[in-house]
Amino acid sequence: MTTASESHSLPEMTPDRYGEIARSIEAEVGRVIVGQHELVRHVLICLLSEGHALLEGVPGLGKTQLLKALSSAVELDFGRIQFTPDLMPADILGTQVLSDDGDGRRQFRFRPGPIFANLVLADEINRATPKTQSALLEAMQERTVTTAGETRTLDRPFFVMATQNPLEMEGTYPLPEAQLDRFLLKAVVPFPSPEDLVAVVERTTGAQGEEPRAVADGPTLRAMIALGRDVPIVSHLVRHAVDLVITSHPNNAEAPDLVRRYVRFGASPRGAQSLVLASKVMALMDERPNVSADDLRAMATPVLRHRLVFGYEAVADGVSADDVVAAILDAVPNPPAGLRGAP
Amino acid sequence: MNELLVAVARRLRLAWGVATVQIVVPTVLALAVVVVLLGRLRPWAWPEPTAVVLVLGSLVVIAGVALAIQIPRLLAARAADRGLQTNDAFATAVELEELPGGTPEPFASLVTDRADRLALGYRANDAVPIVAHRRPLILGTALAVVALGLGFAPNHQDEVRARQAVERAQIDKVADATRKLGEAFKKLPEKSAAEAGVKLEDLARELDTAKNLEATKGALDKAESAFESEIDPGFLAQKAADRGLERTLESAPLPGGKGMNAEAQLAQAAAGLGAATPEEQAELAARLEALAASQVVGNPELSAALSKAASALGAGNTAGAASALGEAAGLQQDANVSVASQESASAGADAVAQARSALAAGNGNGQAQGKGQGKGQGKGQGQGEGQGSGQGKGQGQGKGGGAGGGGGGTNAPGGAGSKGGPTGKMNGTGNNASVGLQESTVIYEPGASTNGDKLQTTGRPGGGSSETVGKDAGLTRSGGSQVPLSEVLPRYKSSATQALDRMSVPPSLQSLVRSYFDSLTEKP
Repeated sequence: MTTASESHSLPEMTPDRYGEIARSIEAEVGRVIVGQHELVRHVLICLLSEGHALLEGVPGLGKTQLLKALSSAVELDFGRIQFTPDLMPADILGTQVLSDDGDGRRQFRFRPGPIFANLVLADEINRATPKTQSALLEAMQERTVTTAGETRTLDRPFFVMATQNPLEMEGTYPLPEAQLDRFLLKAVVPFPSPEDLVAVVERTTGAQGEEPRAVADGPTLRAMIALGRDVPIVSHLVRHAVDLVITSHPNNAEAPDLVRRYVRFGASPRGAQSLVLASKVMALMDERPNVSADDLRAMATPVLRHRLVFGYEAVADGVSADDVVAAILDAVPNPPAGLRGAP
Repeated sequence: MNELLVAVARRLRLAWGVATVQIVVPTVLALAVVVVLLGRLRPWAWPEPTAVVLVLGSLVVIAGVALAIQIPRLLAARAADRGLQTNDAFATAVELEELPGGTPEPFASLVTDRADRLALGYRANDAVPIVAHRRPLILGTALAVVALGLGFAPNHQDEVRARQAVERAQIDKVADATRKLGEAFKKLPEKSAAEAGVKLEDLARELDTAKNLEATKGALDKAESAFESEIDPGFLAQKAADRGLERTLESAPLPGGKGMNAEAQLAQAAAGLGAATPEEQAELAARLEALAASQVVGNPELSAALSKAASALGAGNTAGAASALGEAAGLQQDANVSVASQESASAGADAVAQARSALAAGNGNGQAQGKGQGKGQGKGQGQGEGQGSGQGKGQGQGKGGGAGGGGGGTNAPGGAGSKGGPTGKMNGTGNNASVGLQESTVIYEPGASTNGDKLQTTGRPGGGSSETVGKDAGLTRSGGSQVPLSEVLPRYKSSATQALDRMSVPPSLQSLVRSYFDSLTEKP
């Protein structure tokens, strides 16, 4: 059994209130984002796990709108960075500028970049050079920014939602594995159904649509994040999460054939941590006070899909990460009771 | 929740047992089928009981393990969670209860309350369904049917087993009788008889461990040969000379030797020569010459000593005569010991021969009984050939085979070979009555066969009838030496009685052999 607690001067949070607020946030975002319930849920799980989300989908599916709506619903600062090949790290983190202090004296002053926000949209992150991409590493992992030898702490919660365009490969720089590992999950933004698309068109081409109401704020979110870490998870489920991760390694004896053939490197230990953390939040959002195996298995695909490093054979054979994770889930079934004849 | 988990734990034992049975029992049943099949290939007695023990034993073991197996609460909780799809509520609650250092709030109470609420609506049967998989069920049923079918279907090996059982009973009986005879021999005062008793007891122990009739016969042959090797070829002449001298001197003692045995009289005569008158010496010399003549064949050394003594007396050499008489006394003593020893060996050989005859007689009956019962009419025909041969021999002997020859002879003397059915019935009755000693049964008679007639090699007289049977009835060569027991029984008794009388066996030994023989031939 693993539990964790964080003592801060935060508003009191109970599981019931947690679920109530989470549902409210989902509802408010849903007023703007048509359909995409799973996407909204995954992004919210990511936010409440204090992780970062990587969204993959073609342009125009409402990724930016989603984050905007989310920031409105939770009353947090929102920053957007459009990644381009000529984007420099300073464009993200901020820079020292020479300014006049009014007395005729000039001095360097730090101008914070768009990273200094609670919710940051890193749009088309794979268009920036690796150097620029790596500028996000410290912010995402340590939640600090170091410029000119000075380290600055980012406000909490700090949530980065990066997007990738899967169609255009030319002029892109695939994210390095180290950076991919920083994302708690990767959500695939599906193309909306015709009915949803009709609703989207109607909603965005008419009069000014509804705006989400703020149903939470920063301290409330921090309290929710702290509570989420206290959700109990039974030990055999922790083992199940670990088994799912280690089975993604091609040299593991239990690894399925798909993993052995196509995966070069499996998920890192951070994958197991993310899986458990996301499952805890999912349990609370489902108004359950404990994690279940179904939570783990439901979160396995978004949490593990971007942590697998594939060889060229996978691309050649058209094998997707989701196929491999599905094979892993088949190879590692829901843990039985451990006695013959037991369910 | 606790009540539910206790019930789930009980249910898990049952589920474990059922699941294990479905895995183990088909394997055990397959093994049982193999074992039962072995029982149809070889005449072993253990396959069918072993198959039953295998199946029942495995079930008992599984039931025992199911009762003894420990079901931790967490395991029951996990099973309940999976069976009732309660999203690991019970397992989390149990693990939170057992968490060292207390349980974190507010989740501890929330988890426990939720688990208790969930437990109210469920039963252990819902949580742990008993699953019967089709494949092991069908396989197990098929194997059980095959095993039972093989177990209860007629098995020709049953006849072999029955015959072996009869043989075993015969062997045990012969061994028991031999052991009792050996014990009786050991109680006799003669040292040689005691030694023969030890040998008979050794033989009985060997018979106890004999695996079959052949081994038993081999042991008997070996024992008989051992006894016979102790008997000198001139034993009868030695015995006649020894006993004759004793009887002669008993009826007409030497001077001063009345009431003494021969050895003592000769010694007394040697001692009294000095006081004897010339006439008495001449008379003694004549007696000694006569005695010497009676010992020429049976005991030449004694004859020579007596003759030497007579010559010395005739020449007036009393000292030489006394010395020769002393030598003669010693030789007579040696002769007494030798004859007594050979008598014991002969008695032992006779006992073994009788045991072998009785065993052979029982064996013939056992074979007939087994075939008649096991295979019914069909086998009865086959058996009928053997019986027919026996019957033919009976007629050759002229002993009225119809009276004692069993079914074949009674119903149709000329066509005994086709009367297998009646023969089987008759033999069955005989077997129930006794083991191999029913007078109405047909038995194996070694004296009637054309080979291996050990009884005759012992030099026992009166073998004519046995040889006549073999020569006159050609059918016995192919049909075996089977004759009705009633035909040979009087001859056996007569032969034994004559042998005892002829060999002047001591009365104590005679009664022992007679009682032994009677015990083999008495009706139950």
